[in-house]
Amino acid sequence: MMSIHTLPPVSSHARDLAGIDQVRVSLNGVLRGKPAVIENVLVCLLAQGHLLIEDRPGLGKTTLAKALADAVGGHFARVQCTPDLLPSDITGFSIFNQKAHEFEFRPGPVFSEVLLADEINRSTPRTQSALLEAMAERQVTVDGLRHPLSPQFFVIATQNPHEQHGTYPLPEAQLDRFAMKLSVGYPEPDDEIEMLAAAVASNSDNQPRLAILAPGQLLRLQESVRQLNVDRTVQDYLVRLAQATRGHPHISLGISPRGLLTWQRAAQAQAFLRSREFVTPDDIQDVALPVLSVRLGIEREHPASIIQELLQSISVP
Amino acid sequence: MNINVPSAASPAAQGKSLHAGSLPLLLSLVAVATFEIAQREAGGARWQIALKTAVISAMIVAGYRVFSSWKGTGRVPGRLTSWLLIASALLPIPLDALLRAASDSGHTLELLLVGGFRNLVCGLAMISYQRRFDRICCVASMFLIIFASAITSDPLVHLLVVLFALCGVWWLMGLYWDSLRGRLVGSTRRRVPKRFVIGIPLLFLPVLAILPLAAPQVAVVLPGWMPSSGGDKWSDPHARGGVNDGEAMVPATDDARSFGPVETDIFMESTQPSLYDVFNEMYGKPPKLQKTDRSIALPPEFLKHAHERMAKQQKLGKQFSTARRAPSPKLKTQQDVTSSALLYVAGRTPQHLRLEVFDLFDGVDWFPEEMSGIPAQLKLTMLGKQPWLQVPLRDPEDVLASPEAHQLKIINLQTNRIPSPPGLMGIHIDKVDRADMFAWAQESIVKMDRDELPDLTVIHIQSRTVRRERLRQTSLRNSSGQIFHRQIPSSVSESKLAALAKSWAGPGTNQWERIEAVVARLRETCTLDRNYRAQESCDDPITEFLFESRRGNDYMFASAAALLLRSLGHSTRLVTGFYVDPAKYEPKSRHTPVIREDVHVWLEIHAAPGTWVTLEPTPGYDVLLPAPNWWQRCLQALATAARHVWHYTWAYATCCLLLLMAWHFRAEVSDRIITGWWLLRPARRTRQHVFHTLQLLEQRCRWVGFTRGASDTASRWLLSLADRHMMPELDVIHRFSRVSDWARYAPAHQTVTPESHLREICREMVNCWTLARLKDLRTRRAVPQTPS
Repeated sequence: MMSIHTLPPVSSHARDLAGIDQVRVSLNGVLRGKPAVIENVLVCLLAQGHLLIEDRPGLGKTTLAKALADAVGGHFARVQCTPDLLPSDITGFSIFNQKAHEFEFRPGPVFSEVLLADEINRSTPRTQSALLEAMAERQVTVDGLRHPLSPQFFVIATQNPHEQHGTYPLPEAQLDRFAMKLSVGYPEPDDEIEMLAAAVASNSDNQPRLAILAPGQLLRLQESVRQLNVDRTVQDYLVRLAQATRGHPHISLGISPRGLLTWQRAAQAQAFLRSREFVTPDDIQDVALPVLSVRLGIEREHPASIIQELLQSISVP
Repeated sequence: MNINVPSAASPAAQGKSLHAGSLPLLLSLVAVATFEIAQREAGGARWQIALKTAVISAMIVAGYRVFSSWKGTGRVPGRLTSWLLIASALLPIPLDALLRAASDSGHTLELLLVGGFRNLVCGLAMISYQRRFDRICCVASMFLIIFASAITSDPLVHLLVVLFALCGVWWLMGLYWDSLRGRLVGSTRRRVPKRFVIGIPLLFLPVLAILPLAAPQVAVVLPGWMPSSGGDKWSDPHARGGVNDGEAMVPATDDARSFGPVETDIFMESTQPSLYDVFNEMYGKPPKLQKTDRSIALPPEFLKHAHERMAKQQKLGKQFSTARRAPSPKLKTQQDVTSSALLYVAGRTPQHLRLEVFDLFDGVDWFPEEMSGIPAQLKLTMLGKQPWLQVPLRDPEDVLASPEAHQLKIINLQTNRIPSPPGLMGIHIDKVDRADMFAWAQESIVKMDRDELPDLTVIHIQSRTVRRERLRQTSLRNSSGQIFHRQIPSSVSESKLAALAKSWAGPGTNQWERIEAVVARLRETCTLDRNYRAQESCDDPITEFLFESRRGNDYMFASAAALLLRSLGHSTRLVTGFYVDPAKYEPKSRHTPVIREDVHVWLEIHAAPGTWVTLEPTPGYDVLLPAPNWWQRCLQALATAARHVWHYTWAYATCCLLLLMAWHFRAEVSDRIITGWWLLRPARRTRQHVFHTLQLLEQRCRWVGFTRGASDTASRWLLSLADRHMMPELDVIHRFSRVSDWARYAPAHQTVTPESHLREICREMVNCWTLARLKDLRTRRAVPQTPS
């Protein structure tokens, strides 16, 4: 039973939410003027999904990833993807220890909490698939041995949409491993002025930040998100939306069941961030664009308008 | 078709599509109620049927609620349900067998079968909450209502069928929408134009309200526009009775309710009194002749002949006197009067049915001419398999229109003369295939060679009406060949009469127009007074009628017109018979009864050799014109409607004013009603109360044009509305939007205490978003929304 003072539908995870609020404030301080992007990053984090950021260089993708890794209190690793990057450069490799007379496993950057795969589309498909296997199964297999990754393993991959020369575009099957695709975009002029002002005589970028979330707190938050209630009618709404993506004349590839599960999880995370213990169609609509744009084969230049049409064509329960 | 899914987006619908939910249930309830009413003819009072229907409906609704509570629990009707449905459909047959064995009573086979279908519909309705059953439930309900409406003629069933059709169309629209949903994009979304859907039927409301005030025939302004199935000459021994309006009517052999004239009945003998009693009862008996030395003014060379003829006719009692006593009123019960139809006529009206033609006039009495020469022989011709008596008809001037048919259904007509319209062409009585059964009674009047027409006989008649416009174009041949058709009695001042006729005819030269002018003037100048009688001492009732009283009965009009036209040189004669009054048309049976009060006297004028044209000088009586074409019928229908509206101008004006007021204040009035209902509506659960509140708010917003989109949740819609119009009560709206989300999407176990607080929030919201407030916001300029 809830009390009158906590009118529905305020979440009962108030303490955990306070931690998330601090993370939000921290990230907003790093990436100025992009609260919607921060919100989606948090959704993706809480939904245990991986994030693909598609934007131009220098817009703060790496800064965001590093700030997030600091905030959640995990180990941060960065891979600059190039065509000569090997799978073992990501997953790790075994070397022969002459003293012990045995092979010894040297873990790669995937054995971290937050991994930034910069310009992922510059690596070869072989390397991409190695990384994507790790993202999907949260484990890597080297020399026949399986090595589990961190339970809160979170990948932020970036790619530049404008420089296509010498790149290997991610196929749809691999894009489906990402939970969301975001675009940071240029900041507003006011935010840029603030950014410039804050950068004068400041060396904060080099200073390590303290972790905001306690060890294991992120896992608890993700578990809480999983527990959020989704009404049958809302699930029905979600399925109708999914069917609409599969029958739309301008969408060559509709959403897969795996994508549908991801969409529901993202909606749960969105509801959690809004201090609700149940999902509403608004949550589904709000995460629709980042969730769908990464996995739908939309034949037009502006997928946002197609997705908006889809949302408007299906009535809410 | 503009369609929408408003109910799907409403909280009441709770996620169901338009065609799901209560519509299949409603359709099945209507169908079951129709069947129960249709069964009533088999016995049982109305209240018993109402009680039975209510009990069955309650069972269906209770079953529906029980089964629909399974929704979301994973329980579904299984195979056992299918077997139960089949068993319920077959149940009436063994039950009826048991009933027959136990009490020697039962139902007909079709009722048993439809009863089984009813059981099936009841079962399907209970589980219609499931998608896979709702369609079959609606289809089964449709068949049930078709079967049920086919076995009854109860007016209430018609209403239920209309209701079913409306709901069915709505359900089909929803079905269609569901098939499209998911493929349409938002830009093509359309809404049902509710104001037209509701407003246009409202426009017809005054007509529906006032039509019952009008005479029955006004309500049926389009007789003959729609085809009628009629009878099929086949009868079922298990039929539950009833008389159709087709050609084959049902004999009253087993059931007195199936009374009607039949074509296959054998002729019956009768000793009932003469037809002329009817005229005496209507017009009163003529006074006994006080003077025996009266004579008609015929030319000397015809004097002897005329006297002989007059003496002969008097002996037979075949004169028609224009001097009569007032009839003594008879004590009759209401039932006697209403059941006194002499015959029924199917066909176009008004119609004049001739029985007797009078050619000679002596100033007081009319006498028929004895048939001279050898009349044309009557011949029977087989048309198809039907024997038709051909009546020779000449039309040298081509003034007759195309033939048309009438049916005379003899009920209680004591004469052997066949009442026939002018321009008679042929007569057909089923099974009468001998020409010697017919004979000439007078010129163009046929009689049967027996004492009287058998009761309940159907006589088919073919005749041709006169094209009046053609008469205007042709020169009339005034002489009929018989000089007495132009004879004016000596007791009447011929010069005075001729002067009057010429003054009424006007200066024109067209003969027919002059005739019409005289008749029209007579209709205008003189007054029909059924009770007026000239004094018995009056020797010249026509002069008294034309120049003094100017009021009298129809025979005075006819006689006066005949003499006026004779004074202009035309050949005229008096005709007695029946006037088939269109005002007495019975829309339900599509027949016009002819009663004793319909005996009538008119005149005919000789237009061409063998062609006598009916003239109607009596006010209030009309002549049948040729069948109008479609355009003329449209104009007639419009004219009838216009006359009706003109006649009830004030009633229509009042209704329209009330409707306009209701339309103008519809939102305010409806808001008071639904707000009162919201206050009084029982809502045991808090969630229900929130839904009711949201419904009320949505309705208010719809009235002012703030309609929620189908893809918007209630909370987002409320907040965006408040944001767009800068409402100061953001706190209340925020709280209510969260409450509405909770009520709609939170799991059932997630409750709130105390519930009174939620109800308080709902009340605050209702008080905050009043209709007047919303209207005020509407008039203000909304803040443009920034894209999120």
